[in-house]
Amino acid sequence: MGILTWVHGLHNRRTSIFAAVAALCILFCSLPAIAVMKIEVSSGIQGGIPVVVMPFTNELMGERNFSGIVAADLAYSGLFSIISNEGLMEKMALPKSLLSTAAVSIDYSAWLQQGVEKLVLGQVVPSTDGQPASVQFALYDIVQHERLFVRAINNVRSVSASAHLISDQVYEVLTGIAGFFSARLAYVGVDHLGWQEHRYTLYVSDADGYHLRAVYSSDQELMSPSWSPDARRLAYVSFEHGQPTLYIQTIATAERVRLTVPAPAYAPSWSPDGQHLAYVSSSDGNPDIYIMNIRTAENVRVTNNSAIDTEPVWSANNRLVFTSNRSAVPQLYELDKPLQGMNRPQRITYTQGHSLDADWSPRSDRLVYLNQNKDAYAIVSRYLVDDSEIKIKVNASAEQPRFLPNGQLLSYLSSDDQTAAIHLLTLNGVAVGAINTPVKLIRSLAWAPIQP
Amino acid sequence: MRWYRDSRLLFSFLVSLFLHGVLLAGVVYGLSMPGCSSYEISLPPAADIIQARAVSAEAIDQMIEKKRLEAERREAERLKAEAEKREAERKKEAELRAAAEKAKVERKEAERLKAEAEKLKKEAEQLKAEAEKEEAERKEAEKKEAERLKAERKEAERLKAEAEKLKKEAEQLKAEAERKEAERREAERRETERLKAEQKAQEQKRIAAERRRLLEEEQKQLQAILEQKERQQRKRQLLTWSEQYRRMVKDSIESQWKRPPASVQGGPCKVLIQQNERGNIVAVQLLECEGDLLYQRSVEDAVWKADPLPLPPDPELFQKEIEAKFKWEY
Repeated sequence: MGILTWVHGLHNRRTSIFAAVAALCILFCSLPAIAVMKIEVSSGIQGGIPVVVMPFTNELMGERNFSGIVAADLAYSGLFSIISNEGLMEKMALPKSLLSTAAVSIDYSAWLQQGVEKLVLGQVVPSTDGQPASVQFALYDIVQHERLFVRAINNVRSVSASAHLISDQVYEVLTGIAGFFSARLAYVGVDHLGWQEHRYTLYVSDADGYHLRAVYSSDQELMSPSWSPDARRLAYVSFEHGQPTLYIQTIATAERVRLTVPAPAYAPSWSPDGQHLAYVSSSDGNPDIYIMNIRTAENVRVTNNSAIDTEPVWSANNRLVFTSNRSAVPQLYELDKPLQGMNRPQRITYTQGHSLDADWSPRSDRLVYLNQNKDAYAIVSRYLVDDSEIKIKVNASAEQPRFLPNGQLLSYLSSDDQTAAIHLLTLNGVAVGAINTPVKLIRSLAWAPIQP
Repeated sequence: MRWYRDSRLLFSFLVSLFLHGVLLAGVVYGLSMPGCSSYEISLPPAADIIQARAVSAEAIDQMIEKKRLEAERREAERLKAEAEKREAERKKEAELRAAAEKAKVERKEAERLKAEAEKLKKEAEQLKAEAEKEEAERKEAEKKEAERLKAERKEAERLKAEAEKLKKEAEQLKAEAERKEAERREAERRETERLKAEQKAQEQKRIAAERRRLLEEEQKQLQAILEQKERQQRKRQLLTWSEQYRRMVKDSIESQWKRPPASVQGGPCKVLIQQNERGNIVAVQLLECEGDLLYQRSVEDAVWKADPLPLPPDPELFQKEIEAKFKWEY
C-alpha cells in the first residue's frame, strides 16, 4: 500500500510508470527469496556437549591440576560430556602461545574428527618457586571454527580457585549463564561419637565438594545453615544453649553472633538485601514465621496461625514461601511483601500428600519442593512462568531439594546409616552425579549465592 | 544425199498430182451415168419357222387363215421384187452412160491437170529453191539455234553449277541450320530436361522438405507430448525428491542435534541456513529462538555439524536457503 501511494504521488507519468514497474519488479524479484525450504527438526541426541580440556602447558601432574579440575567441573554441570585428553597431546598440534595472535590457529577439522566440539587450552606461567604465577586459557568452538576467548588469571592464589574460575568462564560463555563452580557449599556433618554422643560440624567447601573446611563444630546440634546474599556469612541454628537459637557467623573471621530472637527459633532465611532474616519461632507454643531486622534486632511476626508454619525461604524478588499444615496437611504458602507486615498467605500447592521444604531458584523463576504422597517421594520443580511442574521420583531418604547457585541443577540429600550423599539432578530430573564429600552423615545443606 | 531427198519430194508431188486427176475423172464420170444416183437392194424373204404345239379346232382354223394370209403376202412380195429388178437394170444402164460421160470429162480434166502439173512443177521448182533457201536459212538458224542452245546449255550448266553450288551452300546452310537447330533443340531439350530435373529435384526437395516438416511437426508434437509427460513425471518425481531432500536435510541435522540433559530452556527455534551449491554451509542465522544460549548454541552447532548438507537428488531442487524449525519433542 505504501509503495502504491508513493507511486501514485509522483507527478510525472513516465516516472510513475517506471516506478510502478520497479515496484512490481521489487515485489516479484523478492518472491524467490520467499521460496525457502522449510524443515522441522524435532528430535536429536540426548547427551552432553563433547568437550576436551587439554592439559595446561607447565601445569603439575595429578588430578587436581588446572585441566583436571576444569574437566571435573564441566563434567558435573550436566551439560558436557568430557572427552579424555589421553593421547591427544601426541596427535594434535597445539598453539605455542595462546596470547600470540600469530600462533593461535588450530586445525578445527582435525579436532572435529576426534569428536571434539569445544576445546579448552591453557598455559601456566610458573613463578620462581615453581608454583603457578599466572594462567592463560582459551576456549575454542570447534564446530563453528571460532576461538571464543582467550583470557588470563595473573594472580593465582590457589590452583583450585583459579581452575573453578576458568570453569565458570567457560560455562558462562557457552551457556550464557553464570557458572557456579566458584561458589561455595555449606552443610552440617554429624559424626557419631558414641551412645547419644555426636559431633556436629558446620562445613564449608568449594562447590565441587573439595577444599572442605569446618567453620564451626559443636557437640550440640547444629542445623539449617543459610548463606547471606554476599556469601560472607552463614546463619544457622545452634542448640548450644539448650533451645534452638540463631547465629550468624562470618566465614572469613569465624566471628559468631547470637541473634536476639524469641526462642526456640530455627530455619533462618536471608532476605535478598541481606538486612533481614526470616525464621520460625514457636515461642508462643506454635511455630510461626518471623522476620528479624538484623541491624535493629527487631523481630516481626508475619504469620499467626494455630497450624505449624515453618521452613521460610526468601526469594531474590522478595517473595517468602513457607510450609504450613493449616490446611491439615503440609502445603506451601506464600507471603507477598513479607516486610510489610502480616498479610494473608496464599496457598501455592495443592498436591496430594505433603508438600514441604521449598527452595527458590536464584532468578526466582522456579520453585522446588519435596512431595510425599503415602510411600511415593518426589522432588517437584515448578516453573513459575507457566506453572509447569516436573516431578522427579526419589527414594524416601531424599530430603532438602536445593537449587545450585546458578539455578541450573538441583541437589538433594540422601543418606542411609552408613553414607551420606549430595546428589545432583538436572531440572528435568536426570541424575548427573554427586558432590564429593568425606562426611558420613549430612544433616542440612546450603549453597552460597554466586558473587558478581 | 540432198539430191535424193529432193527427188523424193518431187516424186511425191507427182503421185499426188496423178491421184488428184484420177479422182477428178471419176467424179465427172459418175455424174454423167443414168440411174446411178440411186439403187435398190432386194432382200430375200425370211424363212418360216414352225413351232409345234397342242392346239384346239379353233386354233387350227385360225392357223389355216393365217397361212392363207401368209401366201397372199408372199405373192405380193414376189411381184414387188420383180418390179424392183427391172428398176435396177434400168438404173444400171443409166449408170453406164453416166460413166462414159464421166470418162470424157476426166480426160479433159487430165489434160487440164497436166497443164496444171506443169505449172505445178514450175511452182515446185520454185518452191524447191525456196525450200533450199529456207533449208539453208533453217540450217543457219539451226546452227545459230544450236549455238544459242549450246550457249544456253553452257549458261544452263553454269547456272546449274551455280545452282548446285547454291544448292550445296543452301544445303550446307541448311545442314548448318539443322545442326544448329538440332543443337538448339538439344540444348533446349537439355535445358528443358535440366529444368525438368531441377523442377523435379525442387519438387522432390519440396516434398522432402514438406515431409520433413510434417515429420518434424509430428516429432514436435510427439516431443511436446513426451515433454508434457516428462514434465508431469518430473513434477511427480520432483515432489518425491523434494520430500526426500527435505527428509535428508532434516535427518542430517537431527543426527547432529545434541541436547544436554541439564538443559530445559528451549522452545521453538527458527534458523535460517544458507548453503552453497556444494552443500557447504555459509551462514546460520537464528531468527526466533525461545531458549537460553546453550539451547541456541546446540541448534547452531547441529546445523554446522551437518555441514556439508546432503545435496538434492536433482539439482533443480537445490535450495540455497533453508529455514529449520527446531523443537525438542520429549
